[in-house]
Amino acid sequence: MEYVLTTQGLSKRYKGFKALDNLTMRVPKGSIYGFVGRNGAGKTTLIRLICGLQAPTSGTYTLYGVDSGQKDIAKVRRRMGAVVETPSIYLDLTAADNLKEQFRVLGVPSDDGIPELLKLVGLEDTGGKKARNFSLGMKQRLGIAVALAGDPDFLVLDEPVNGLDPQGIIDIRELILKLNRERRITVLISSHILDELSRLATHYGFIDSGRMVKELSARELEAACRKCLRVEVTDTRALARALDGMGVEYEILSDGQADVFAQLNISQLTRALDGEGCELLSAQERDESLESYFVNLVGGASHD
Amino acid sequence: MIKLFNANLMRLWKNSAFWGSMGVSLGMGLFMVVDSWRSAQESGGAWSSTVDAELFKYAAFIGILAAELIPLFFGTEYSDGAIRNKIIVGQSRLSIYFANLITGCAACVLCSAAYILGCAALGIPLLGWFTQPPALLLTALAGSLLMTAAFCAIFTFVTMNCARRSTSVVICLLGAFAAFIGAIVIHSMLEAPEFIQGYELSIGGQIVPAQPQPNPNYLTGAKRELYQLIFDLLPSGQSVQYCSLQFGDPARLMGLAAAVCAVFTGAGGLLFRRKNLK
Repeated sequence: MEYVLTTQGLSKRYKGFKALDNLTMRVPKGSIYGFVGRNGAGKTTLIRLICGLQAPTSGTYTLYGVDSGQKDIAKVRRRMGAVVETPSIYLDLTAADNLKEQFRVLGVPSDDGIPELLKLVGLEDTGGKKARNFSLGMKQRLGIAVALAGDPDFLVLDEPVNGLDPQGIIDIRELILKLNRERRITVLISSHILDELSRLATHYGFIDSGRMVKELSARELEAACRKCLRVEVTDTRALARALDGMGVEYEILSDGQADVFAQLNISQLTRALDGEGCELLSAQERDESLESYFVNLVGGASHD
Repeated sequence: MIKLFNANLMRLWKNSAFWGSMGVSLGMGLFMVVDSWRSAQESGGAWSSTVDAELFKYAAFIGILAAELIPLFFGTEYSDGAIRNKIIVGQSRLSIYFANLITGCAACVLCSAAYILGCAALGIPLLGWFTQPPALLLTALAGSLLMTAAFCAIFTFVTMNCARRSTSVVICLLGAFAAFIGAIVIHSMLEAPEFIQGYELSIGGQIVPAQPQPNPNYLTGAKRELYQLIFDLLPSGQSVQYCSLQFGDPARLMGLAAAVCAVFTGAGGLLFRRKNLK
């Protein structure tokens, strides 16, 4: 698999505080990588490091295979765009002028691409309105447009839906999906709004106290969070025979407990168990969400 | 760096603080001439002024203007977070620093030009043609522009290494005023007479001049040289000299201004390279 970003033992220490601790991660090309962690877990610190805003205390990272210690890293950064924390826009300029400014920074010879970019983020009708008069969602979308000015193929978004209203959240979500699907932009999104992330991400990295706790694909996560019916019976061997007869997938957890991965008719199951001389003691539907998976993974106590 | 400079110029062109500063400079140029002409008229010919005398008075306020304009303009990059956009796309920190320094200098030179143009445009018809030799005027122009660059280097140093715009505005303005007060104090010490003329009562009951007494506050030897060096080194000290067109050694003043530029730019660039940005 080809990776856009990899980090190896990346650490960042501030005065008496380790924000990143030997973090290793890999962001596959073409993915939407959900970077999940509590406030203060180290998400923004990692983003600051890969954006060149800060230098790591130890460890390295590679962008498109170029090591952070190499001189070429500056050239490779030209292929990325980012919105770190708040949208980086000049509040006393209009949306179009903000993009013009970034085009100048990038050395883009023509401003022809500006209307298309504004349309892409839904700001084509803002005219002479200064960015300071934009809503938070509009500022966020303008920040993304500025990040897209260099036509990047790696986009880093730090908490992009923080503070947005429901419509703003939907707009940003659709924009990210569009960028990923239509422009094949790899997206790294940090967030602690897990429900929102679960609608987007194709890969996940769970970070806690500056360390990567787990990295997995959305498919692997789906398998781990699979919807099932947890049943308690007097004899799981009898249960296995009954479920085999019904052609249903299951997993025996103990002598008296099993997870059944199907929508079961309880009366039918009871009859089948009766035939095997087994009693159904309880049945409970289980549906582990990304949220509960995260809580199980990093523990419930807050670090805030 | 040219890309960054272009981007800065585009933003400068749309910046209200810059146009406000240009307006103030032009207005000051016109005001100085009118004020001088009116004083000459009121004196009934006993006193006259020339356009040369007014031409470099901008040196007295360009430092204050730079102390307000530079942190306001570049501090916005921190307060709005836009400085990140430059670094994320791979622009080097030194390029960003130098582009900002050059833009700041360009803005202040334009403000100086607005003053000079306003002053000359109204001053020549009202006060007459230049009376000083062109070489002296050109030397004062070159020297005062280098002095402006020294102010810009100091304020860029503060602004680029201070993440809060309001803090950098306060530091620059207070620093500029302190430097001007310091320069005026040193100037008065250097200008103190070597002897104090006293008076005494004669036997006949008349007040007559006494034997001049040595001034205890008169600076001599190494101490005088040190004070003169500080006065020449401080851009505010140079501004006092250019303002009155009374400067001793212009090469020394320009050399010291260039040294201030080099030291503050070198130190500022190094600090900014290592700075953790948020």
